[in-house]
Order: sequence, then structure tokens, then C-alpha cells
Amino acid sequence: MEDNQIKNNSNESQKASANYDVVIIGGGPAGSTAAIYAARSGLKTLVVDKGLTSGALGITSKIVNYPGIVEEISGAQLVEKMREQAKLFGAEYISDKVIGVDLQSETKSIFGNGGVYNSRFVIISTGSMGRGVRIQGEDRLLGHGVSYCATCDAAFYRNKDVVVAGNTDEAIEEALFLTKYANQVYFLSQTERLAAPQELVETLKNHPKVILYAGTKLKEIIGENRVEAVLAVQSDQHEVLLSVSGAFVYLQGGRPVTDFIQGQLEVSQSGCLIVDSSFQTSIPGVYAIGDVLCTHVKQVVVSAAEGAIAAMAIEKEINGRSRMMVDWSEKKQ
Amino acid sequence: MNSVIHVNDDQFEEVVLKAELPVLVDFWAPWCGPCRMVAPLLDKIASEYSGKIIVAKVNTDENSQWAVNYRVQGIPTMLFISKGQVVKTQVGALSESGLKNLVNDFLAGKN
Repeated sequence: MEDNQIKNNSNESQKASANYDVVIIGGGPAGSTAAIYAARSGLKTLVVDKGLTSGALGITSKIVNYPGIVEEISGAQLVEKMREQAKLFGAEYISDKVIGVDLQSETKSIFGNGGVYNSRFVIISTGSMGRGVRIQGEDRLLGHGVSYCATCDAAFYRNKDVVVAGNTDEAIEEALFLTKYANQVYFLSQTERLAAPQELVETLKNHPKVILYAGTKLKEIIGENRVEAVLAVQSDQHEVLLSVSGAFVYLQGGRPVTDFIQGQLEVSQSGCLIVDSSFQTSIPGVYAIGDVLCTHVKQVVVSAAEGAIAAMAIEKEINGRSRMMVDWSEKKQ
Repeated sequence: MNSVIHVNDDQFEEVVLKAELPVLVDFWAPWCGPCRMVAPLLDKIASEYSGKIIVAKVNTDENSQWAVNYRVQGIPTMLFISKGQVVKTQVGALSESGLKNLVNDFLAGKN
């Protein structure tokens, strides 16, 4: 029964493998604004995103300098509004983590944990919350208890105890998926508050198989040939040793998220993606916008603007016009 | 031109462990995204390195015995096996060039 549930999930993902004009990786302000412009101009647009709160804006509690938004609004609420707007114009959103891409071919393929998405154009807007430093024991025990994909590996942990480290909605979704198989899921959040919609946090907290450790940092993954335990430090500096067979890691850092590109795009000496004035990368048809560009000014309005420029350039390319189209709504009325 | 061989638990010993040629065996499952990413690369390796390496795949959904024996707890896991011995393990998807480097090193005995 449980296995069937996974397969159904996978079938749903297969449906998403249709061809798109543009696939946008990352649904923050840059990606969602690109989606608004692309969908508005009639392009078949898909946004693949790990979760609403997985990016920098998702954990920003208050935005006060976004033009036109006077009332107090959280980062997550602002992104949610942008997403709703993009969806109104026909953009599709799918919750998936991109783990690889094939950008060289004319039809680009985006590989996610849940499915493969094909398109003519790709916009990379994955932000800059990628990890640098690994936890002690993490690399050594990868595949022997350490995992980044519950969808792939949950079935190996039937009736076993596992730990999930993270604080985003992505981490919570993965933890809830693991409860279908695991005996006990320990959820370690480095922050006291989880950066996720309240309803999702409540579902996690109230789940009989989940024990939440808020304000607890994963310090070490222990085991000789396979994961046997994890060591964590609580906010009062007390250490906790949890006996587990699996450690699912969804931690964040401050680096541009480019690991899934696997060297297919040109980067500068300092490792920054190189783009032209319309944010096109070294591969025609592939664009990069927002915080993933390291020279970029980290402001929502700047990310949004870059999204608009990239989407308009793609529209121009698809429709074979020499000038970008300006969408004057009043002329249509 | 060789293609990828799908092996079950019963065939594993004969096809993989007793093979004359070096073997690249991939433990995978249909619902696993990273496995889908690796699949076309393995097809390519099987045809481009035809006669030099055997590329085998084990669906862990249907055949778990050898995955358990090798303590596979994450997929895709690729084992490079020479004369019945595992000489290299790759966990998780990787790029075409990354996989080819591993295969070249394996065939050159550098692992």
C-alpha cells in the first residue's frame, strides 16, 4: 500500500514531463517575476521550486522597501503574491528539487527528484542559500545512511529511526514523507522557529512519529560503515546523542546554488556565473537571474527586475522579433 | 553494440560477480529522480564502451537481496566490480563527464 503511494506520486510526476517553452528553476522573486512576464506573453511556463520558504525571502520576516507594497508584509507573503499573479497568467508551479540539468542539447532537460522537465529555454533563479561546509561524517556516510532525497530513499528506512536536519518547508515535507516508513523521525531545526507555513509546522509537531528538537544544531553524523547515531547541540549547549539509521540533511548556507549545473556553464575566476546584459549565460537559451549571480545587489526589486528582463528576452527570441515587446495593457482594451 | 543488462537477485552472481569483464552495476528504483537522470548516461556507457565493460542494473524495488548485501541505503548507487570485488562506489547522480571519468579510471585500474 505504501509502495503504491510512492508509485502514484511518481506517475503524477511523469505527467509533468510535458514540453515547456521555459522552465524556471527557483520560484523566489526573480523566478516568479520571470514567470509572470513569460506566462503573460503566452509562453508555456513551468516553475520548479523546492518550497515556498527555501529561499532568502522565505525567511525574511518583514519587507518594507518593495515599491507599491506599503502594508507590513513578510518575505514569504510577498513571494506568495507573486506566485499567485504568475499562476493567474497561466504559469505552472511544481514542488521538486532539481538535482541535475542537461543544458547542452537544443531541448533542455531539468532533472528533479520527482520528475524530468523539458523545455526550449531555462531560467536559473536558485538564489544564494546553498551550503558550503559539510557536517562531520556527512560525506563519508553519504549513501550509507546520509541522504538528501526522502522520495528516493525512504523505503530503505522501514521501521527504523531517522533524523531530518533543516527548518524549511522542504525539510518538513521530506520529514512527513519519511513518517510513512520510518519508526521515528527526529526533526532538528537549528532555529527555534521553523520557516514554514503555520499549518505545515502544526502537522509536523502533531505527528505521532515526529519528535521536534527546536533550536538544535546537527553537529556530527556518527558511524563506522553506516549511520549509527547523530550528535546535536541544543541552544543551551547541551549535547544530544540520537541513535538513528538515517540522516536526511536539508541545511542551508550562503553560497549561490549552482551545484546542479555540474560545470555546464561558464563561470568567472571567482566562480560566479557569467551573463550578458539580458542575463543570458554562456549557453544560448539559458538565463541566470537574482541572487544566484554573485555580483548582484541582494534586493527583491532588483531580482524582480532581472526576472522581467530575462523573460522578455526569451519572448523576443521565441517570437523572432528584433525588439522586446512592451506590454501596454490599455492599448488592448 | 551492447546495451544495459537488467539483472535480478538470482542472476546477479552469474552476470555480475562471475563476469570476465569489469562491471558497472547500478542499483535504482522507478520512483527515483536521480536514477532517471543517470539512466540515459548508463545506456551511453554500455554502447560506447561495448566489449570493455558490462553495464548492469538492479531494480531495488523488485530485487533487494544484493542491495542489502552491499548495504545500499540510497539510490542511485553504482558499484564498480572487478572479478567479484567492489573497487569503487558512487552514490548519487553525476554528470556524463563525471561518470566517464570514473569509468575510465576503473578500466585503467586507478580506483
